[in-house]
Amino acid sequence: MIYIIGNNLKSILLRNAALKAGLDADICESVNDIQEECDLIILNTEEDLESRQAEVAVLAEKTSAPIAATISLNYACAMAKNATDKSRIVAIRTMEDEYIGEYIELTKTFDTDESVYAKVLEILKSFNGRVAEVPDIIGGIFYRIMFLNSNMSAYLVSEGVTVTDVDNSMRYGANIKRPSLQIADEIGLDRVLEILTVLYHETGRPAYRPCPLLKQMVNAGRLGKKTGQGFYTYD
Amino acid sequence: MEFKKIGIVGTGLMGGGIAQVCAQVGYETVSFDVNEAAFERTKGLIQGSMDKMVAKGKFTQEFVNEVLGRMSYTTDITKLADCDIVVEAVFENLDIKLNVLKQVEEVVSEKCLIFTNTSALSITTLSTVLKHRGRFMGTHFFAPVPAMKLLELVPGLDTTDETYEGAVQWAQSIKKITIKAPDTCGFITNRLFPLPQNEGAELLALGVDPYDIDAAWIMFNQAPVGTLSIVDTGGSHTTLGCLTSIYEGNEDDRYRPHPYIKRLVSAGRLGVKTGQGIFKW
Ligand SMILES: NC(=O)c1ccc[n+]([C@@H]2O[C@H](COP(=O)([O-])OP(=O)(O)OC[C@H]3O[C@@H](n4cnc5c(N)ncnc54)[C@H](O)[C@@H]3O)[C@@H](O)[C@H]2O)c1
Repeated sequence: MIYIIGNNLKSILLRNAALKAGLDADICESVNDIQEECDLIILNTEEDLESRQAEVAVLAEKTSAPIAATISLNYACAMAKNATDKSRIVAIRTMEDEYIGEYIELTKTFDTDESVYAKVLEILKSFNGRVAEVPDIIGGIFYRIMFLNSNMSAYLVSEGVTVTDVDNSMRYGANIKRPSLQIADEIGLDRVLEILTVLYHETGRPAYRPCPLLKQMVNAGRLGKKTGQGFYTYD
Repeated sequence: MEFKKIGIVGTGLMGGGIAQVCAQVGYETVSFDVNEAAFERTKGLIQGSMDKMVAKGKFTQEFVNEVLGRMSYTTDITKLADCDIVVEAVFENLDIKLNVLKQVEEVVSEKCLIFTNTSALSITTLSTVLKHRGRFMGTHFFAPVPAMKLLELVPGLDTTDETYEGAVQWAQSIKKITIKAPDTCGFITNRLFPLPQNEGAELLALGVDPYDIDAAWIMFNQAPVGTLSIVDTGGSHTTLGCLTSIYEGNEDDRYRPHPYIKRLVSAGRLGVKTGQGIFKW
C-alpha cells in the first residue's frame, strides 16, 4: 500500500502511475489521515520548508514506512531535519506537467538507510517510467537543465528577436517539438522566474541569472497560458 | 530580384550542401575551391545524399542527372563573374574569410549579393573588407544542409533592406525556414544549444548519470535526441570551440566552458568518432 499525502494533481498522477503498476495507492488529505502501516508514504503537500519538516517528523514518529517527500527547489536532506529517525527519509522530484509519474528523480539524504533507499527505488521503478538516481543538488536534473533555454530565449526576445523565430530555431535547427518559450508559457512565467532565481542564488552560475524581461512580464501579470498572455497570446 | 546562377566559395561539407540545395531547385551553381581534392570528396557526399532520395522514391534518376548537370566546379575564381549570389563557406578563420571576400568582390558584378556561412564571426566585421557593404550579410546553414530546414539570416550594420529581402526570397526558393538573427557571436541557435550542455557538464561533475539527463531532455522537450548525445555526435571539441567562441566573442560568462568539457577534450574523449565521449559508443 502506498499513501500519497496532499490533494492535488501531482498526487493524482502519482497514484495513477502506482495503480497502473498494479500497486494499491490512496490519496490522503494530511499526515493525520495515516492510520495504518504501509509500504511507502509519498508526502506531496505544499512545498513549504518548515511545514514539510514538521510533517516529515510526525510521519517518522507514527509509522515505520519509508517516507518520500516530493521536492522541487529544496534539498533532500532538509526534509529529514526534524525527524527522530532520519534513516527512512528520501526525496523525489518529478517534472511539472504530464510527465509526472513517467520521470522521477530519487535522492537520498545524509542519513538514508541503503535498504530503505533500495526498497523505494524498486517501488518507483515498477511505475514503469524512468527513475533517475540524483545526488542532493539544488533543483536536481529537471530544474537545472530544462529552463536554461527558456531564460536564454527571453534574453533573445529582449534583443529584438521575434518569439516565433526564437522557437523556430530549436524547432527546425534541432527538431525539438516543444521549444523553450512555449514551455515557459505552459509552465507559467512566474514559476520559471522562481526556479531561475533560486538556482541563480544557490549555484551562482550566470546561466541562471533571470532575464529582466521575465520579471517585467511577471510584474505585468503576463504569466503565460494560464492568464491568456505570455510570450504568445491564447484565447 | 532575379537569381539564376549561384556561386559557392569553399567546396567542403557546407559549401557542397548549399550548392546541392540550389541546384535541386533549378539554379545553376559554380563551386569554387583552392583545393581540387575537395571536389571529388564533396561530389561523393552529394551523390550519396541524392542516391538516398532516389532509394526512398523521392527523386527520379533523371532528376538527379539534371541536378548534377547544373553543378560545376572550378579552381578559377573568375568563373564566379556572372553569379547573382555568391555564398562564402571556407574555413572558419577571419583572415582567410576577409581575404576570400575581397577576392570575390573583385570578380563579381556590382549587383551580386554576397553571403557568408560563418558560424561565429561577426558579419559586420567581415563586411569591412568590402567596397559595397550593403550587399553583404550572413546566411547561416545547418548540417546536413539538404536535411536541415533552418536558415539563420543575419544582417550586418550596413546590410540594405534590399539585400535582406533578396536573401529571404532566395531562402524561400531553396525551401528553408528563415529566422532573423542579431549579429552577435552564436546568432540565435548556437546561443541556445550549448547552455544545457555546459550546465549538464556541471551536473556530470557532481555525479549525475548522463543517461538520465538525456532521458529527461528528450521527454520534456519532445526532442529526437538528448542534449549530451549531441555533444558526442559533433565532438566534445566542437562544443568546447562553440562555447569558447561565444564566451570570448560576446564576453558572456554564461558560456564559460565547464572544466569537465575541457577535461573530456584533453583526454581525447571526443565522442562518437573516438569511441568514448560523455558516453561510450
Ligand atoms: N560544419 C558545420 O556543421 C557548419 C555549420 C554551419 C556553419 N559552418 C561554417 O561553414 C563554413 C565551412 O564549414 P565546413 O564544415 O564546410 O568546412 P570544410 O572544412 O568542410 O570546408 C571548407 C572548404 O573551404 C576550402 N577553402 C579554404 N580556404 C579557401 C579559399 N581561400 N578559397 C576557396 N576555398 C577555400 C577548403 O579547401 C574546404 O574545401 C565555416 O565557416 C563553418 O564555420 C559549418
